Amino acid sequence: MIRLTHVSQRYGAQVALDDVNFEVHAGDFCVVLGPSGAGKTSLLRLLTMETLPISGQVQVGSFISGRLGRRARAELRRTLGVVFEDFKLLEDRDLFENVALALRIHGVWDQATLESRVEEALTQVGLPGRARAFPRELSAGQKQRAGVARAIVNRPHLVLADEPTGNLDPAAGEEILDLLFAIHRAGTTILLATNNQDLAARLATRGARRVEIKDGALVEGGRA
Amino acid sequence: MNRLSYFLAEAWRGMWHHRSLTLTAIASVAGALLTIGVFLLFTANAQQALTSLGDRRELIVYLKDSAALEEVQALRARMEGLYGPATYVSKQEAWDEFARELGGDELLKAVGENPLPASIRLRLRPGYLHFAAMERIADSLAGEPVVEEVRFGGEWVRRLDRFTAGLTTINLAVALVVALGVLLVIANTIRLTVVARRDLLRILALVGAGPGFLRAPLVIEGVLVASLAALVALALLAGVWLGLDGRPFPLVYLPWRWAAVFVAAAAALGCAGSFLALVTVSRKH
Repeated sequence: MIRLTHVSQRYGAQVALDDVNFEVHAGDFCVVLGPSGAGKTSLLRLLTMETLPISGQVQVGSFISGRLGRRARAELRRTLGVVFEDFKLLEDRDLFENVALALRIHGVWDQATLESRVEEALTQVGLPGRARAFPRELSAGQKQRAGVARAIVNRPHLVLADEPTGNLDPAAGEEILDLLFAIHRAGTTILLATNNQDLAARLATRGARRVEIKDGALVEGGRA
Repeated sequence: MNRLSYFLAEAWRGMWHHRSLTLTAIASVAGALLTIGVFLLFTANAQQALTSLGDRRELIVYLKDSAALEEVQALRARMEGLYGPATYVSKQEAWDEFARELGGDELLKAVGENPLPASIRLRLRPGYLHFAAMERIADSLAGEPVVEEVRFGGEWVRRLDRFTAGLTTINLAVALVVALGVLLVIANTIRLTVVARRDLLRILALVGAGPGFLRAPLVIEGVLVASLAALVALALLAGVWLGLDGRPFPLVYLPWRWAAVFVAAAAALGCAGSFLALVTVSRKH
């Protein structure tokens, strides 16, 4: 599903990733733990091919870095679901428009299909009947649920979650984790990046694979 | 909602969201387009005047007194087939016309015998209403056995042609300069729009929007801004026209086809300006 081979990434003199070899298999729930600035975001940006490695190779599904043009990178992102720490919802659009956006980008234009798929995704994340609500009307936890709905509406095989509970209170954070585990149980591979050691430990106790990232290097943390 | 209506709605949403920027762009582009519009209005009226003058651009083929009527009619028919309506004017008709224009019987009596030749007056089709064609036709007809002489206002026609060509050159030069200005205004507007919407564009790119999906609303926005500006310019031009009409000459407004081409050309410039702006933007995504 994901393979990094001798990947290095650097921003000026700062080393973000140094000769990293790393694999995530289909069906994994992988937690990447590391303090701020350790390279988690760099790793996720490599996986979405927002940036390309200065050396080595990143493979996500059938997409391989180094040979990807803009269109192919966009195509790769359409095969992924991405959940962001700050939700990245469009504040001037209701939840229907926010979630339908991912479908439209995927080429779904039929209104009936859009409505049924959006409602299905919102129901899956516990927001049934809230399609016409605007982000400003929602709590942080609900916003993140909407973000998850947008990530899964295209039924991706892989979901990348960048600090998905970072902006949430513990209870809302726990709900989001439950949601991600439910999505994982349905067959989706999950890679979650966090700097929260407690959270990583709790996820490991629930069967997640833990990998630590420190000073640009990845260290396998084992399964609980 | 299909793809096109979605992109249109997105473009409109963007324009509304940044309405002060949009209005500034429309006003700037409309001002620039109005300059072209004024020149076009002048050209339309000059052409109108030239067309009525052009009706008088005729060739007169004077015939030999010895020419047989059959030969003359054959030549007239041939001229009509090749160049345009040809009217035979007999010696008597020429004399009557001369007498009518002169008015005084005394002088006519003094002249005595009718000295005027018969002629064929040729009103050329529009395609021949320029100096080079008229000169060629005159040379060709002068070689006919029954023809004594061919006359047309050579120098006058040449001046008219020069004036028309000069007008066209000025129009093209003004249009080129203004088009460049419009292109830059649109490109900068779209650049500012992109900067203002960089968060939205980043989210779209992260969710998997390809270059086409990112660019389409912005290109449509450029087209809409330029088209609206063209309509505003046409409205302002109508004001100019109404203000000048009949003072002292009656004026015509732009023919509707010109107006349609004007709007279409502005839309094309809007499209080109957007692409110009997006060349740099798309690289960032």
